[in-house]
Amino acid sequence: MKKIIYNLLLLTFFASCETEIDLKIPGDESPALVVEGYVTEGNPIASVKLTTTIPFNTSGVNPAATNVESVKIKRTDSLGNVSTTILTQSTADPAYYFTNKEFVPSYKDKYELEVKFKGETFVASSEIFQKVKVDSFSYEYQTEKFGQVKGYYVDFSARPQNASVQYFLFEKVKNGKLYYESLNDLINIWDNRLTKQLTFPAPILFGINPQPNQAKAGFDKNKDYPYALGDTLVINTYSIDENVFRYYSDLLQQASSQQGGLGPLFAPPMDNVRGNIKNLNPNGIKVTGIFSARGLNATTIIIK
Amino acid sequence: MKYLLFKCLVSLGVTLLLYSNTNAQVNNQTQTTTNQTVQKATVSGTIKDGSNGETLIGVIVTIKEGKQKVTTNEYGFYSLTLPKGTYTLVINYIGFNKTEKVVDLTNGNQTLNIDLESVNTVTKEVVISAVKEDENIKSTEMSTNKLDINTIKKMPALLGEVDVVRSITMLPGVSTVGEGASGFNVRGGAIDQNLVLLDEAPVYNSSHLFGFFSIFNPDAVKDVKLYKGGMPAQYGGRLSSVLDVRMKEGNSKRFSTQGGIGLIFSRLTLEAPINKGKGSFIIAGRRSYGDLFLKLSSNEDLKNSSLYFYDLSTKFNYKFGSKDQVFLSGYLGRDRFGVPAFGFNWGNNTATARWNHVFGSKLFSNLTAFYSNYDYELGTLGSSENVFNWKSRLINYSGKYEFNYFLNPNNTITFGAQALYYEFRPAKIVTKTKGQANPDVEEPYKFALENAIFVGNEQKVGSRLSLTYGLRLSNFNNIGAGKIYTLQDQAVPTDGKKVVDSVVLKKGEFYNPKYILEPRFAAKYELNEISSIKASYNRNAQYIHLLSNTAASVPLDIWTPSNTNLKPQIANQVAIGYFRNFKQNTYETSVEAFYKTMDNQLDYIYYADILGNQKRETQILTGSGRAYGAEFYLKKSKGRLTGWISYTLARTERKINGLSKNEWYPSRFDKAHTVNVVAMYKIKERLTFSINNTYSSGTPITLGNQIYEVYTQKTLFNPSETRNNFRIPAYYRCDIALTYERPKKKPEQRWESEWVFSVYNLSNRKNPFTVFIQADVNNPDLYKGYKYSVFGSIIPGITYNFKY
Repeated sequence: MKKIIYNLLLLTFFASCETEIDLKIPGDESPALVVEGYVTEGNPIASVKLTTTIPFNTSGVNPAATNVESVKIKRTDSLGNVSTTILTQSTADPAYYFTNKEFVPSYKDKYELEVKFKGETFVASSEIFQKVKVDSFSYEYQTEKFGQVKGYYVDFSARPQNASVQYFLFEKVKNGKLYYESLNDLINIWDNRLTKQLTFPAPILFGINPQPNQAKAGFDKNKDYPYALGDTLVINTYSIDENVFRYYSDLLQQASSQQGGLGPLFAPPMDNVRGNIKNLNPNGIKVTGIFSARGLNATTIIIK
Repeated sequence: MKYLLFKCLVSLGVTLLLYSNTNAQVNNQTQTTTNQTVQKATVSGTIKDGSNGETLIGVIVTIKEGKQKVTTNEYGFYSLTLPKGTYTLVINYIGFNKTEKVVDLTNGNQTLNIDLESVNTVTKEVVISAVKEDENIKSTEMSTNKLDINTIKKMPALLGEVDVVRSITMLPGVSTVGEGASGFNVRGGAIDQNLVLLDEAPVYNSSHLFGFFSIFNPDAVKDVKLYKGGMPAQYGGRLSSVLDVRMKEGNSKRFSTQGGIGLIFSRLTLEAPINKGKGSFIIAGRRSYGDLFLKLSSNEDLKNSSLYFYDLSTKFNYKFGSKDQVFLSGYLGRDRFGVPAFGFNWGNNTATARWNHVFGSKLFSNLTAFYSNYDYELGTLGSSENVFNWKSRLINYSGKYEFNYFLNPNNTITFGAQALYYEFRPAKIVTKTKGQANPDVEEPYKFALENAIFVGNEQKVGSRLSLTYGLRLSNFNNIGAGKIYTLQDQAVPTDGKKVVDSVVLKKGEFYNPKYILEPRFAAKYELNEISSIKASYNRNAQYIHLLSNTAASVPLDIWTPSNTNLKPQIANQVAIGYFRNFKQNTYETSVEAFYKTMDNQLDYIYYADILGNQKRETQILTGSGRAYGAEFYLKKSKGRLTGWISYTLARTERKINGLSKNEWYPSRFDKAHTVNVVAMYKIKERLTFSINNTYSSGTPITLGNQIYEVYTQKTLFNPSETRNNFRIPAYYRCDIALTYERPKKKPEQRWESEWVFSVYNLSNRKNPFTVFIQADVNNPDLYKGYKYSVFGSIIPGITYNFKY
């Protein structure tokens, strides 16, 4: 919401500007463990990515965590049956660990992740909530308007099937690639506690139809955005748990201040994003990241 | 303990009062007769500006035959009780000719209203004080700044638009987080710790355009006074300061108008007498032009966008006989931003009704009733199919009865009571999906009542020592209907506090009453005619809190009352100061040191969820605050060159249970060094040059020194988990202005006009408001630091002002 406000303010004539500075941020430089794990309803491949942080101002990707002793996921189904799966390291990318094909996550399952790294144990838990029901979708061609480019726009109507399912992440995959133009499109989340609505309201649709930055290199005003004839769009609606929602929400807030402009004015303090992973040794290696078990509704729309 | 303190203070007050009364009588007897009962009489009245009938605040009336003197109150009223006889009243007030009036009190009480004549325009010097020239030495007031509106109008301003709040940030001890931040910070206090009063009604958001301008129309403002400490007992409800803005009454002599046309907005003020000067009114309005420019666009959507603010200030007064006067004043203002898809607006409304009545000739009373409303609304625009609309509102109703009792020349007692009713309406959400209305969601209202009784005395003890002391007893109650949660006593920065129980309040039920005793004390000792030392102590309580977790406060921030989870904030401040003038009061200097402790200060868990969260107290952590520092001030009040230099050395810190390893950390508005230089030079009779220079240390922010990527997004990580661990670069800005007053064609011509040419940020410095990280354009894997500057270039301005 605050992003919208400062975007409106940008319409004013203040001569704001951004300038590069040499940022020397003090503090402990010991690398922390970064976890990114997903268990998705119906998907036999659960993935856990383990990397470590690098000092700010360092070029390059986060290196894969080395000295990982084990990665396990414990599943507790709705009947109380418990099973544990050991994940194996990917040969293609040593940062990734995957389950095998016998692993079939489903609704009401609870999952616990355990990572042993450099002699310390890191744990996280997450639960799969019921997926949403999609009532309808449609698309129509819209001409150029203020703040909106010409192209096909998708109208999408979905609703939670269960009042206890309150948090959602909407992901767009266009022609096989994750599609977003801005951070708000990427982290398009909804907290249904407030409005308790049967169907998702307008803000979600803004995120479903990303608006390109017309000033950015590569923008072609002759093309149609956000969708064009022949595009295949998959809307992945994830039902996520509270901690995972909180992680995305924090990430969105911290990242909003990275967009420059007036964003930093309306951003909260850039505290650490709150993940759901913890080190059983509170004085041990620092850890951050997320482990998310999630319900999924995938809706495919072909613009034709 | 509190009872003992109360008893001691009352005893001390009574003793001093008796001593002072006796002393006053002794002095008076010496002048008249001894061993007789001295018969007394009182001269009282109102002192006004003779040119327009505006009452003058803070005018010192002195008796030529003795040392007795008294100061006019906020309504220009004075009262002096003297032994019967004939006296000469002397009024020497900056900007006006020295006036002497003979009054004969041999036959009893007299009413003497005095109109002061403005200093002849031709010989008029630039003056930057609205009080008597040695008032800084003689008065017990310290930690107080009074800015003359004419001075404010001479200072260089953003886009040439004079602004009250931006001007006071040039004073020692006052700062802001940066350009574009709403409100201001006083001696380490948060912006919600300032009580901003417009004709006694509190204003909850004093900003237009996200803080670039304030809501006060300078053409309608008569008096601006900022208390940073040593507050009199009649003020309360906030920890750090009181900004008391008084509107003009309106010209009671003749119709007059003034206004201005600027780059960003224009303003017009009308004033006129009512019924041959028995009353008068003023109506002043401003409006910005953003949307008018948009209407010039050929794009239909741009034409339908809104981007403006407006405000209307009005006041009416009428005298019923010599003892009664009624004032009605109001303010209405709103900011609107919107594009076809989405819009946002906020505004304040205030209404104040006051009745002044003089009982006899020594007791002045003011009965005030006011209403204040602050609301904001945001949501979708234009579509009736998909609607999302959010409204929030805070309403105040209050009654206050205040008395000034001019007991004798040595004692002026102020006492009274106030009741303030709050109605908080945090959020109402209306939504429609595809034309179908969803059930409205409305967060329950919250109600509260804040009461206070107060008594204070301004007392002269001998010729050198003066005291101002008082006591305020405040009380606060939550009122039903409502629900108050009981929270688990834990302080984890990553998790909200857990709700363990709740209490449901019935409609009208009082709950959680709090009583806080707030003593106030200030003393001045004159070392000689040109120097004095002062000391003050004040204790303040604050029962409402602005919840804001962002770098800059925004209109979406929510006010919420104290309850069992949010205890009242309490501040104790001591200050000492040395004041000295030079060269017949041409130069005023002062140095003040202060130390302030603050209890029950608020900070927030990581990424606190405040908006729309009915259990938002679960997101708040509390602890202590402290602020300390020294303020150095040199002011030149007279001559062709006037202005001031101030330097503030200060520190403000928080120690919040659960944050930053439970250690002290700097608050977001901590600035170690602040230097302000304001100068106005009268080049020619009608040409004035002015310049501002301001420097301040960078404010702290929170940044991590490690980086990682999750979900395609690079994010900082701070292993030390300390808050406000990094300082943004220092701030420096230089502004200039040139004011050219157009000559009159004939001396009797009433039309006056001037052009103001200004350059804001002449230094062309890209002052950072904050810093952030972003991927390098050429190397997406490399994140670099950037600073964000609200003003990244020179900003020229031109304004045409007129007066008739």
